[in-house]
Amino acid sequence: MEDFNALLHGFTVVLTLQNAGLMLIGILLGIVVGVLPGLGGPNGVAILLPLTFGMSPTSAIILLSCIYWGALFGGAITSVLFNIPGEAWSVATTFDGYPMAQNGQAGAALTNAFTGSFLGAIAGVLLITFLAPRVAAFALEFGPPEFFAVFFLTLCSFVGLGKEPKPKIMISMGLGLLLAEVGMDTVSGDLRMTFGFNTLLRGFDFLVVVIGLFGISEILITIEDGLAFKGKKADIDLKVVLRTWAQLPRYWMTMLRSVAVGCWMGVTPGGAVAASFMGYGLAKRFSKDPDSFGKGNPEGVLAPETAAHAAGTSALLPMLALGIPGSATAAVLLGGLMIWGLQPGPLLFTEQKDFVWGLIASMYLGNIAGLIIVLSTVPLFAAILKIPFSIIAPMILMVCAVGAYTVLSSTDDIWFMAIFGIVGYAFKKLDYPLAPLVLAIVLGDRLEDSFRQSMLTSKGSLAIFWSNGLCGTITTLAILLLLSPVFGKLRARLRNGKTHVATAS
Amino acid sequence: MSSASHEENAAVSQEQPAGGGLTRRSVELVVASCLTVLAVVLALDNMKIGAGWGDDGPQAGYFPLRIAIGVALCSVGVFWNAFRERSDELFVTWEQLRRVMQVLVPLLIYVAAIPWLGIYVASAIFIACFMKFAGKYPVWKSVLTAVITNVAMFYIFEMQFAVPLPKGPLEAWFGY
Repeated sequence: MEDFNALLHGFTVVLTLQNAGLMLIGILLGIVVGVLPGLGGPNGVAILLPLTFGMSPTSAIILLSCIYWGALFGGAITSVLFNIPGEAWSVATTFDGYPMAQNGQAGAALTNAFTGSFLGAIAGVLLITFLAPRVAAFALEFGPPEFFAVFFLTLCSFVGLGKEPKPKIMISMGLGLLLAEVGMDTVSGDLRMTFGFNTLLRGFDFLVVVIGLFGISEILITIEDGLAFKGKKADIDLKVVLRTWAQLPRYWMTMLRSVAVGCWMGVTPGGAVAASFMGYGLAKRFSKDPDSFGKGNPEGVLAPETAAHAAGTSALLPMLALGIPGSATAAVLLGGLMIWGLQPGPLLFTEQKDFVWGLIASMYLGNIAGLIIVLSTVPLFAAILKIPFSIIAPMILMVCAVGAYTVLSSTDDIWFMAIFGIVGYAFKKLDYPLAPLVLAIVLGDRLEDSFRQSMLTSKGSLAIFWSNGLCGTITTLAILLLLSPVFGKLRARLRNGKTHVATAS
Repeated sequence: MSSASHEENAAVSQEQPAGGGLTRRSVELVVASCLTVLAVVLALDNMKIGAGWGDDGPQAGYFPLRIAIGVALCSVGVFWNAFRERSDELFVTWEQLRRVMQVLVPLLIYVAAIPWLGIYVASAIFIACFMKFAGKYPVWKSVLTAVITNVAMFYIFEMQFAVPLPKGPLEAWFGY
């Protein structure tokens, strides 16, 4: 009941004219960002973050989280109409979405995608509303060793659950941690890994890294296939929407499975990408007619979208309750919290009530508004993709450069952005996952701080991570996940089959 | 996105075996070597500033050194895996690489020009040239698009948000 009152209070925060306006702007921008190649969720949020420095944290997070919802919706448009997943988590949506569009059912496919997204997101928000305050209250007791254990678990679960080759996941994470540590060490004042370059004194800003890794690299990958997009026509009208909705109850079991997978994968940092593939896989496995998948089965659109959105939304749960992001975009939002002067972690729920509940309320309203907006404006956004890439590409690159510059007003950052763009291009094509890198950069400082503080308390003994039941369980679980590739290898040797699903976010 | 392009690469490599582009294996080996060298250099640098145990707990290099060693070991592992694997799968075809360079080279020139010309003028030239040479648009369309975009950018950033972006001689001439 207390949470319910807090939530109602949150709605009053959001429903001021200014915040509601920001919400609409955020969703529209988000859809644009999701539709255009090179401007995905993490990158779009990273570019706009510097512009929010002057806003109140509540308004800023509403704007940015709505960009996130918009991007989640927008990714579906390109998948269905153009067979181009605007986001990595929309890859599974193309499997059946594009065939449906080819059969002239683009409207139905889009309605399925958006409605699935909406239901998934609402499920995620419900989870946050009721679970996050409890997790936060529980985590108030955490000291440095517990926090280190949880950070460690977050990173290890990437290794354990990631689909990419394990050494590559670890490299990516290690690079992220190292990048986070470049510059002046706050404890000792020593200069670390600067090699005499003055620009490196302040370290690498995660926003610049994100813009390069996700934005520039995506443009480079998109350009490989040439400058032309070929899209299908989208006719969405109320009749199509209602007819599609009338069929939805039939698929309740599929949606339920997707929601469950999505919420689970979102909270544990496996991410929306893995969730969308799992949602699709489950729908196919349990279907009475698995052969129809890949040829335009509406369930094949509904399942991955529901799972992706449930995951994308519940990725914000650990971010709010523990200060640990569950996805790359959540990591960028978390970085934003620190820039706005909020201390991420369980105290947020007690000290920043307006902020937390305003954000949660905006999740409900943002997704409802998002569904309506996206259903009514599909033709408009599909038209954006008709603009030739030779005009769009330099403009996106310009926006990225501006975004990288505004972080710290430094032109050196634009160079770093370009370099990380090339790195991201190579990494994406070689199946090095990017999300662990971003997460590690954002968490790096706090991970190291909590480690050092624990070591100070214990005078250098690692046994402190097993000093109590909670901490010990988390640490042991983390180590098991870290070692799971070894078990996996043994099992694979028995089965002798290998499949790699490329996941990029 | 990347999975789609991988499939396509695989398809291309079946049609035209060697000589069609950069193989995935060679790029994998180069990237793994670069990562190994980077990690070793970082590890040495951390050892230099002290990676042991000081009076007040772990020294500054303690944590990064261990991470760097981990990255180095994993990179060697990736190198070894790629080395053993015999596959003609392509990383990019030459045609694709040419297209990527068509964006990457102008981008690098653009980034280099920003400190000298300011971001607005550099962006305008970048957009106009890209449209003219990559998109084969007439000169007037390219220039018009570039100028309008950047005047709008100037209005939004300098006037609306009051976020100053790098400016060059042209803006100085106008008194900014």
